[in-house]
Amino acid sequence: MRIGARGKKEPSQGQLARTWRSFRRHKLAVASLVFLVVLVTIAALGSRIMPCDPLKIDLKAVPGGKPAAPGAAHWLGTDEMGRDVFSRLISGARVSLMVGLVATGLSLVFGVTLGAVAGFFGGLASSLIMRTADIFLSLPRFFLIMVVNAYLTPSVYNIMAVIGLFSWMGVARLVRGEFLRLKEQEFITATKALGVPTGRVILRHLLPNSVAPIIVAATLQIPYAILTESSLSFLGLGIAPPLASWGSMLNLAKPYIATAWWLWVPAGVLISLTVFAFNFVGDGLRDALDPLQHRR
Amino acid sequence: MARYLAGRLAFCVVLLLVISWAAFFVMHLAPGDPLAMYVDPEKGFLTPDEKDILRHNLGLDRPLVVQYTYWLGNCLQGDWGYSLRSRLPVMEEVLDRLPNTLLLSGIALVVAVTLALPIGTITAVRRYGVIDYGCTIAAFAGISIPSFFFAMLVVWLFSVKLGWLPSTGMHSFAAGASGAEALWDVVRHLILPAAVLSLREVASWTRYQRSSVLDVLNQDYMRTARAKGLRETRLIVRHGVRNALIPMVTLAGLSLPELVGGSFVVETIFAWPGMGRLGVLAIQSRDFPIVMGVTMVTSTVVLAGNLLADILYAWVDPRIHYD
Repeated sequence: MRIGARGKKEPSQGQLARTWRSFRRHKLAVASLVFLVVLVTIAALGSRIMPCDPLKIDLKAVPGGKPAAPGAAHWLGTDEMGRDVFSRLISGARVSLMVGLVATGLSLVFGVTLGAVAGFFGGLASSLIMRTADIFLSLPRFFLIMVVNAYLTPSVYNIMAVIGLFSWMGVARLVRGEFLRLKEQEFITATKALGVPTGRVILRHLLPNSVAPIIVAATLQIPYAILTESSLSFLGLGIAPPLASWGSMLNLAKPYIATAWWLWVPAGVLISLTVFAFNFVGDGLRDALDPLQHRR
Repeated sequence: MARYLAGRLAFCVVLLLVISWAAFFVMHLAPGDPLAMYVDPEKGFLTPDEKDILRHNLGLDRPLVVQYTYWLGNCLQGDWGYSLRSRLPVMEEVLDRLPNTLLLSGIALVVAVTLALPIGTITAVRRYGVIDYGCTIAAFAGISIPSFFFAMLVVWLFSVKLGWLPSTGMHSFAAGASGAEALWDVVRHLILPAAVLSLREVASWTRYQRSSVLDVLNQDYMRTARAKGLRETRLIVRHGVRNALIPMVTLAGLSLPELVGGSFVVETIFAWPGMGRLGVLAIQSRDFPIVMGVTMVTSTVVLAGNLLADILYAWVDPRIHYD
């Protein structure tokens, strides 16, 4: 990570190492990080490690349309159509993680751009952007996401776009605040005195110095996106069948609460653990990157 | 204050107009023909000519802006159209269910406040103690478990396994109509959805109350109060908590959208006859007039809540003046 302006010492190694040392003290955050790395690896390997095709319907495995219990052939059983639950969980992991990451990426693009413009230029642009952010924050967000999403052609990409569109406000506020704070500092005054072009000041000096809080905000944004996607899918308004998402698996499992735990408990536990892990990593990162703590 | 209020109210009205226009626009962009719902009872279909006539009669051939203006004019006169599914007036459908939603959200809000404030205060006072550590993990779990999964867990435990509480609806058929018995019946139906709806709020508010109390504990006036020999409990309750409550008021307003959003999921799972469930069903079945109605009422409730929070904020903190 770069610190300070050109000419200053760049303790990139030192900063990273210090952050890592500080992060490591937060045991649950480290455990969460390990969990997420494993999960991402599994999701990335995807079909290569799935024991069965997650979409393959096998009615012979489910006599009488009753979900088959976990066994040697299907480690976590099958649903009422004979589809392998374990494979569907992996395919759901891909969907959830992808939606979480891409939607967060989009919200970062919107948020950082708008926040940077507002923070750097101030004036009318700033009040316009910040008022818009206030408006978005005061709306019944989940409901509007639901409405917009339901009326678009159903696809994973639309869900990502809609969630991203409705969640840039926090980052925009944060980046604006950081820019306002940094603009007062001497090294930015120095760039002005040296005649550094505006774009370069923003990209090379202001943004790199705001990276720490943005990373934390992004880490905490991912679980929000994952929860939103799974809630939408749970209501049948998100990921369209036959594609499996953790939320839609819980939706389909509703009639089997009492009779087939393997249809809903694993998927629910996975959503909870993933969201929990992202929250904890974000919390650990915040502690580790908090400049106030280094001063102590 | 009056000028500030007038400005805020005007802003809310503009915002509602923008929301209605955006929602109207999105729903008309959607693929699908509203006339698909209409069939001739004898032939079973409509000829293209008949469709054109119908389209003209319904005003669907006019520009979107004109259609919107009609909708808005009618809406302001109290005519919100008719549900495509039930054929009942939208206003009746929505406003009939609003009290149920307010009841559920209100109870969840009260539960959240009564649990989160004391827990948050205790964890702040006993910072880095066992209680604090336990509550922190519990709070993280609380904000991480999706409400629908938590709902399924409590239904499995309390309705399926133990059979203590009903898992759907608001009334049971068997319940008597007499006052006390009917009330108890509603209360029994309320417990599970209210618990699920408040979980997230309890968890996040505990965290906020904790940091708010921590901020206050470091203030000079706390040291002064301690120096003049105030007892610790009294110090924390009278000087600490009272001041720590100020930011919580804004938080209550800000978490309103979240609570309303949560009520859509929770009402759907528990078949609670509220506006959230109505909205979800309407979206699922493309019942456009109902979706518009729910959008407007939900937005109004949320905006009103935000406004109320700002007013309360000035009221609890005499240092704040709006002009």
